[in-house]
Amino acid sequence: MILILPLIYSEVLLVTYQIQPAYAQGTSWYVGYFDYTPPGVAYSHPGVYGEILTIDANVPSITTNMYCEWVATILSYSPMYWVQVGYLKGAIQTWVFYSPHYYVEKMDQANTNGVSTFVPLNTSTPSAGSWHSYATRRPYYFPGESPPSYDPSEWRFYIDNMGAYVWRFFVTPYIPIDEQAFVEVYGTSQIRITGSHFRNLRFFDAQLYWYYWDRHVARADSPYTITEVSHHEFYANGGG
Amino acid sequence: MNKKLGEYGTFILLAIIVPMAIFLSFKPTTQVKYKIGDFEFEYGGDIEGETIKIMELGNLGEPATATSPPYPPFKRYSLTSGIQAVLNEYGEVPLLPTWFPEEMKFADVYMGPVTIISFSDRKVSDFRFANITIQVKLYPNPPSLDELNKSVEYGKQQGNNDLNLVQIGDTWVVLSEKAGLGDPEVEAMFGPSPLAWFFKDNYYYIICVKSPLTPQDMIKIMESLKPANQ
Repeated sequence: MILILPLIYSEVLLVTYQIQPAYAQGTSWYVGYFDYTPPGVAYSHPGVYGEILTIDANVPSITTNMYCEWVATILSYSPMYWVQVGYLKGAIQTWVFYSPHYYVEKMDQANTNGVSTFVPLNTSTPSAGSWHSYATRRPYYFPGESPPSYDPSEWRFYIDNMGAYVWRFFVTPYIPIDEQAFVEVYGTSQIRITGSHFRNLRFFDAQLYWYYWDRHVARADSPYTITEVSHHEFYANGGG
Repeated sequence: MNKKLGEYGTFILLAIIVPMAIFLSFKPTTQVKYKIGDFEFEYGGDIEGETIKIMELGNLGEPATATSPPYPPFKRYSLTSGIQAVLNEYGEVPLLPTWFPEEMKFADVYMGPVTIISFSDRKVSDFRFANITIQVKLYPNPPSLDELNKSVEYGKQQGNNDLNLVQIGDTWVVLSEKAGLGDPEVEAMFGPSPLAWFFKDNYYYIICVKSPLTPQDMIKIMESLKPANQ
């Protein structure tokens, strides 16, 4: 009795101590690449570029769910700040898009309650099966920039035409720390993203201009999968 | 009968107390304490070098408030192991605070595309919920004072009156007393919080403190920043 009870007791305590919190799936699913330049490597990427094939996936409960495909420059992970450009289908904030729609977006020190500044672009819409290029860039003091940029916190966004920006945000803080290129699914994994394709992922650099991503860390949340072609190209599949 | 019960009762009590005492006297390595000056910290994680994957949470059945980029995976360390990991990564150790509010008991170091050093008054699942976070990235071409000043002045012209450029010691710092936290889950818990960002010795720092800490606490923390070996 004396020998058994302590054993039982300590086992119970040990098991209790080792139990980890349940690792629950969140409300979003992600498939794509982080640049993930290690923090001790000298870094300066004032821009990211990627070409994305448009898909027109079915979005169940489209007034609450959505998917989007984008490139983003991360300005901070703690707090979480970023600027982004891409296309989206479904609901976000007070909008519902029933077909793929271009947008730009930012989250920075001025955005409270976790609500981003989301701007749908009404220039044109991407059609299924068409490739489009998307880019972010901080143009401050970059020679030859037209029009010149005098505010260091300015970020410009480009779709298809790198000669003319489609939107700009002024953000704080404004220094980039990472890049991402992702398919994001919100609300339900019933959205089938098979056929998603990103290529020619590039960084901007004042000396090297636009150059290919030379590293990446992939993420694919089940039931979605990723096919990694290279540091600068991948396919995303699954769902539905 | 009563006597027998008393004897068994003593045995049962001993059977409970002895293993409890043995268990409590054995501290897992994760509870070893680490010191910065007079301040002593425990590791807030479970295993040294564990990978932290943050799952993003929205409100199901409601439209997203943003198309949030995901958090990358981070490796989490205790302060001592983390400082060593930072040293291996950078070849030197960035600045660390030497003053803390008394409630801070836990310290963790997260290594990912940035380094995040966190301090908190309780164990936290990840850095998002810590009271103090210091994000560090090597950045050899820091903006000039003129550039920082321009960014603040233009920000104010655009209606962002929560930005100020102040000098703390010999460092110019951009301060915001009520910065959004970017993540809806974190923002719901803490609300807008004090934030500072600055450049020092080739490193880019973003410091954020959350309630119950105040902007004054953040400034005291920044005033106390020193190289880790001093």
